Amino acid sequence: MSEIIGKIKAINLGLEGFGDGLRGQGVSVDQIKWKPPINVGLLKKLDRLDPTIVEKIEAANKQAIANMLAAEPHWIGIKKAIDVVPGMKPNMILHSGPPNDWDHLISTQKKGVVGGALHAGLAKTKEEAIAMIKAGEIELGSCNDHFCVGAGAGIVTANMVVNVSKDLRTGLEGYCIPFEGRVGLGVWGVYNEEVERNLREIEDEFGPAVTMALEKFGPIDVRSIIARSMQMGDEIHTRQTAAGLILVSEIVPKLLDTGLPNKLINKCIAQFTATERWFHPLGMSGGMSIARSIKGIPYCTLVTSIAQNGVKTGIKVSHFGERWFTAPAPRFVGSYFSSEWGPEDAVPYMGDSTVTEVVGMGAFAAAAAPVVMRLRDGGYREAIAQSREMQQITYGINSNYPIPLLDFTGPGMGIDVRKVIETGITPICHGGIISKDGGQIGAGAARFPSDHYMAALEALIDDFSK
Amino acid sequence: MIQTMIKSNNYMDSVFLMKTGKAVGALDGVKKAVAVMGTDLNKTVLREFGALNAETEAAGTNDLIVAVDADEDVMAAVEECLAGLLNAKKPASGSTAQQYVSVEQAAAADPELNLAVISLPGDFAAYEGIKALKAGMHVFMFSDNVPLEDELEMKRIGREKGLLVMGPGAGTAIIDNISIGLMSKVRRKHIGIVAASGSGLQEVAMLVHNWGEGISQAIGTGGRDLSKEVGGSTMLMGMDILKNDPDTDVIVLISKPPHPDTMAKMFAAVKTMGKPVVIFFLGGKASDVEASGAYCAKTLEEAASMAVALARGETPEKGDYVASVCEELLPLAKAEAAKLTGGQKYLRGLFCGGTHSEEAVMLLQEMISDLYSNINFGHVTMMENRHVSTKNCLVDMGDEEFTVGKPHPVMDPSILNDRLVQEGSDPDTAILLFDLLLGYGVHEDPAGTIADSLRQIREKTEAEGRHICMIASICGTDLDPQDYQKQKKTLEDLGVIVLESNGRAALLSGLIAKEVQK
Repeated sequence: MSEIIGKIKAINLGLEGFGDGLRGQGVSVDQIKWKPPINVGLLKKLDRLDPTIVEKIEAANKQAIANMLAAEPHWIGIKKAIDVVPGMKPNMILHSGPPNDWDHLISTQKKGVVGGALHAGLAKTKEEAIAMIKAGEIELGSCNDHFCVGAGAGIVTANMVVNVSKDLRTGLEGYCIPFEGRVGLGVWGVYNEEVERNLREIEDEFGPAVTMALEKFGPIDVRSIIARSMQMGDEIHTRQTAAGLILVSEIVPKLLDTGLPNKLINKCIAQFTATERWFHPLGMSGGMSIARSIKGIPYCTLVTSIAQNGVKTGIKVSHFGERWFTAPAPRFVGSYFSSEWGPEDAVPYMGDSTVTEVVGMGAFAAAAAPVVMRLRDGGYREAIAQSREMQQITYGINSNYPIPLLDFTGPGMGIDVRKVIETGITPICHGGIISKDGGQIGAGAARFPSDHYMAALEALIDDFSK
Repeated sequence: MIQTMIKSNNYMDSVFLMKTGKAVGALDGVKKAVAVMGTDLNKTVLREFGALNAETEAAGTNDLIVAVDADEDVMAAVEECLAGLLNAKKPASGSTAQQYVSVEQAAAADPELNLAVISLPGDFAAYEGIKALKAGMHVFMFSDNVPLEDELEMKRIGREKGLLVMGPGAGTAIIDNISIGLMSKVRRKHIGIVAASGSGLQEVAMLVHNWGEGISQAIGTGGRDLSKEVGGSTMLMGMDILKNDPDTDVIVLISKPPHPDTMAKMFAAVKTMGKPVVIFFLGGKASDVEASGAYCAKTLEEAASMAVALARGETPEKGDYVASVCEELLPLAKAEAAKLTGGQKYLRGLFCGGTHSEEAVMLLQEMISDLYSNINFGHVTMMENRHVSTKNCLVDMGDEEFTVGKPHPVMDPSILNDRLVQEGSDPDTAILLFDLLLGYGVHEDPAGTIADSLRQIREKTEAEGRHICMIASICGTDLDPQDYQKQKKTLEDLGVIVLESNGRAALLSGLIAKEVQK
């Protein structure tokens, strides 16, 4: 008999009975796991974009993915913020997330900013610091606007030191403070005599020693460490155990060859080995240097920043350069270190460590780190499923990081705001849960809202249609 | 007391929601329950339920809301019940089968996909339909309430790419021997159909099958296809396909009378077909049709009968088909009327199939007066209250007023139950007429679904010393998954007279009513 379609192979959207009816006749049917698009009006506008514009978008996004894949972040040193961070001023204190004014900062960041003013010698007392901030004599700024990654509270003062990761291909740098330990100013906003002493050691001894080692014997290839560690159970946001060990094996010989006193070298080694998460700032600053290589590409619809200040989450989209789109910061699902803590003790997402997700690590690379999924009672299946889900909203795949559980393909990379709205899937990001009183009380993941992705897409379409 | 529970960002389809409403409603201490997603439409359901509060008002389309009218301490049990259902949905542990989340993802993964069946809410259906068309798939769209501009856009793309766009509002089709939608299984032979009516298509196809012939292709167009704006886009494409199909010998076209501009295009196409064409325009004028050279059928059954004759190389019988069927049915009508000694007078019809109710109105408006209905069609008086019948009354149970939050009665005739008992208990009711539809995508046991209600009516009327005529048609075939004979027997065992077509059932009912309303 003549046929209209031939051998029917169908998808079914909606009532499953329709699919069952076809299956009952031996037809292959895929039930689409559909959920309502978050904004049909916007999607229709997107569909009606002129084909020549769509071509430009595709070309721009392809270029962005190529840039990210080609980026070669290297750790070149630990240097004073005032010397390396673009736009940093002596009287400036940075915090994580989108810009926020003093009155709206959450208490952890307020404490951190005040502590920062004391540490930087801008004020003698807390009261004086607050008065100066209110008077505008001390300037607040967003880390992200200065290519700095604000871990946790993200407090960075001019005299603090930052890890510098440089993309050797473009020369673009990303910055992130080194790990201070369980208590500290930069991440937890805690400031006291012990913190001050520790900071001084990092700034005056540890930082210069490391910089000397790296300058003398060459920078350390961050990308290569990540690629290896992702095959050893790291996803580089919540877990960097393997990366930390590889880092020690690369930095220690260099330190030993500097000829610095053994006592100092031992102190440096203690910094690296005291926490298995020491690599985290390198993943973040390296991520920032990669993200910078796709900023401000006309027609590019990929996300270049995700950052939180405990009140708001913000994104930047390549086409718009440094323009923010914000929404309320999400809350975590995860595990708490102690049964005395629960969701009511935690602040909403605070910190810019989500730069890892921007470049296809962290939650996007969950399949590399099933261990991390235990925080949410998951296992390797959930890990794979999460990576696959996130691939739905990325424009590309990071083939620099082949992951065994993804059949040696890479995690999704390059969040496309179009795909977020088309699929209704918003990014998941891993992260540490921070207490209202400062300090980490748990770890888990947060599903981000869609409002600012909609606003960004709307703005893109309007701009493209001009 | 009314209590509510919200599971945010937990989108579930309507089948799951109904299952949930049912399961929660069956819990001890629960008087009634409803489970919905927080759409604006569903909030009206919640308002009626008395469950619209600040929380449920604030819920969004991806938030699952369960509302109960129940004892104070049941919420834990509700929570547990819901958790059980939600978890049951997860694939078995270890399953690695990938479920696509979007049309694009499916199309990218499997370029051989060639048909998208869509029954999503109208606001979203076309958006997905367009994506499917762009990916090279034909579309079968059950969804209603699709904006006209979206239908125009889909059909424009369909024409450009040579893809069929069946619907929006298409209920049934047969493509390449596969029944799509809520459709009976029929044998494959040489009669082709293009229909703007789901139950009309099924009725003709099943009669053709039951009389020994078969269907080559049956294309559904959706109800709005023949409007001025859409201009018969799918109808004309369907006619063209059948014209060029060497396996189609006879063509049947079914719809309400099209817009004159569209009708002109259709008739122009009819003249070029080179094959016999039978047209059933529900409520249309015969002279128009015959001028085009097509055969004009006055009922769906006549359309099937003409097509069968033509497929066998015979000439369809001339003469008044309706009159001859009435003559055939008259003795049975008189015998039934004679049993009605309780002073009851009126005919009450409850219809699952939309076109079935319209066909019944069209036939009965010629036979009896005081005819009421909830459908705006023919010469009926519109019912004041759709929930209460007046005199002779034909009710389309697929009316949106009845189906919000419930499956359409073609899929699951459960919503007939209360109304059947209501009509059967009315001492004025002499004749209770209804239709059941079988096929794929339809409830596995439609007759069983309403059997208890029919039994209750039978027992009640017997106890009260009166007879009630129950008359039904079953639209289905021996190839359907439901077992046609068993469905028929279930009804007959309860004293229901089962006829082979909707038209016939309506005519028998009308004849009896005429006798008792003399």
